[in-house]
Amino acid sequence: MHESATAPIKPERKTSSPPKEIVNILLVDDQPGKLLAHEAILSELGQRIIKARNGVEALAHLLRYDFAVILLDVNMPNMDGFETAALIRQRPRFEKTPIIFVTGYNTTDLDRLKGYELGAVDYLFLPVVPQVLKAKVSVFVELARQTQIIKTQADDLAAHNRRQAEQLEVIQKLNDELKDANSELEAFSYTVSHDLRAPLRSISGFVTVLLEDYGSRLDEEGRNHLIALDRAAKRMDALTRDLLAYGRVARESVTLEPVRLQPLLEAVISLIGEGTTPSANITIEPELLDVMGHRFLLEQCLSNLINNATKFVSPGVTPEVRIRTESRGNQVRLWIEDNGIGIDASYHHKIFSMFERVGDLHRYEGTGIGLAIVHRAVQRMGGACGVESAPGQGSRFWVDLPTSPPIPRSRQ
Amino acid sequence: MISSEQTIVILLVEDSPDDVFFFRRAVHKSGLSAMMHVAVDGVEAMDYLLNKGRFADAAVYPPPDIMFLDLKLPHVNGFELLEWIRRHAECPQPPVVVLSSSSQPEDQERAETLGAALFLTKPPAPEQLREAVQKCPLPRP
Repeated sequence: MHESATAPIKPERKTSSPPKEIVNILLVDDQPGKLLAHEAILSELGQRIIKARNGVEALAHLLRYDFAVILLDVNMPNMDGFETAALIRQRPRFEKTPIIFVTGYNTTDLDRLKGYELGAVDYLFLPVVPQVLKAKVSVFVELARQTQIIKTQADDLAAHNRRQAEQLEVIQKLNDELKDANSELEAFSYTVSHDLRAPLRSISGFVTVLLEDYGSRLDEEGRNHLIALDRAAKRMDALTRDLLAYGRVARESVTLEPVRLQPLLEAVISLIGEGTTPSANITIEPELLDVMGHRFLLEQCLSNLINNATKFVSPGVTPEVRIRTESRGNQVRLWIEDNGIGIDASYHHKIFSMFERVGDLHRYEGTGIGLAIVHRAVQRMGGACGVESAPGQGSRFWVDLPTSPPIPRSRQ
Repeated sequence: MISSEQTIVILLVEDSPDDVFFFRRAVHKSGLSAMMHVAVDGVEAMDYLLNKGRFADAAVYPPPDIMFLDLKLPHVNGFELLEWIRRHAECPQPPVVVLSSSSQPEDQERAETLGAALFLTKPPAPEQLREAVQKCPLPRP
């Protein structure tokens, strides 16, 4: 489909040298000798020369070819040059075809020539001077060649525009399909997050009922089985939730806007507080810098990083988390520092991938998706993230985001 | 404010039998003196509020003092029901506590815009139910 819509490209136009289009010249004369003589002179121009012995033959050629110029003998039997010219000019296609009349110094002819007003016209007096003939004809040859080049370029441009329009249409169609697929995925995710998680909530709910109402009738082993059952259901629930969050982070349409970190951090921390974190000390330094970010993606980053910071501590240690920002040129670096167990340098490059859990972390709850969400979210906001850490020395996670222009503190 | 001694009428709009069970248990554990009725979807909730269909007897199914509403329901979902209640001034306008299986901020915002008084994540704890009842204004004298 595409190829057929494209104008065929002539190979010579692909070379860098200026295009040499061959054009046609029509010679009309009843005397074969004159025809031959003129042909000999004009052949030096390197164009295609076609000869006609009278007006009728000339018209027949005109119907088949386009001509750069017609060299028309005025003095011909039956139909003379002027009559032939009148017939040619009747057809719209030849309205503008240049005609050079060849005539003797005949007053009548000159008068008629002057009165002749149709299209580009010139004249030559007999006997023809070869240089003059060549000069006059070559002017029209050059004109025709230039016209042809411009026409080819215009055709190319039109074809190019047509192709572009077609491509645009294809892109538009793909875009529409993508939008459909995306909203389907959105609906699917919503269903998954509600319907897939509901049974897990039921499992956990009934475990609680069993432990509270029937726990005394079970021995310790039985109660431990119930606790294991609850843990498995909660883990499945966390996995589902994190996978959904990852999916959403990956496809959420991202427009960056100025975001104040302080209130966002407070909201995220209050949500984490509702969970399982026991008495973590989280310090937010005053005067945090504002960033350009996306609210949902930033929320995902912060909640995962802070959650990790409070989670991976040695038994008996109270988690200490410090959050601060520093200006680095046109970027803001957000630091989340903890007093946790730390991460060996050999794992630093792996932890931001999906399902990478480091070393002996199996005694800690976690899905292995959190840092993948952070990495993806930061990537989508055009930022960067990383970690400085060593075993036993805590971890310092950082996120770089563009600096925000000043946000009015109207809320204060 | 509703005093804890007063018997209140609770309408729970919830399609999952498990969640109805957990809710009933939480009400029981909360110590609230409550009469609880269940509508299994948005359409049943409308019937209840208008005393139609199986809820025709207004003596047995009085206007609720508080309504707990699941968002994801068959036929007419929680959001649609909230809109419908706001549009029908002639039907009882109990305070609505939304129950959601996820704490998605968009859901919460939308529910609040539509007039929900509170937003709880399922399953609600007994003390959360007590708090909800204490916070919500009493519609009847």
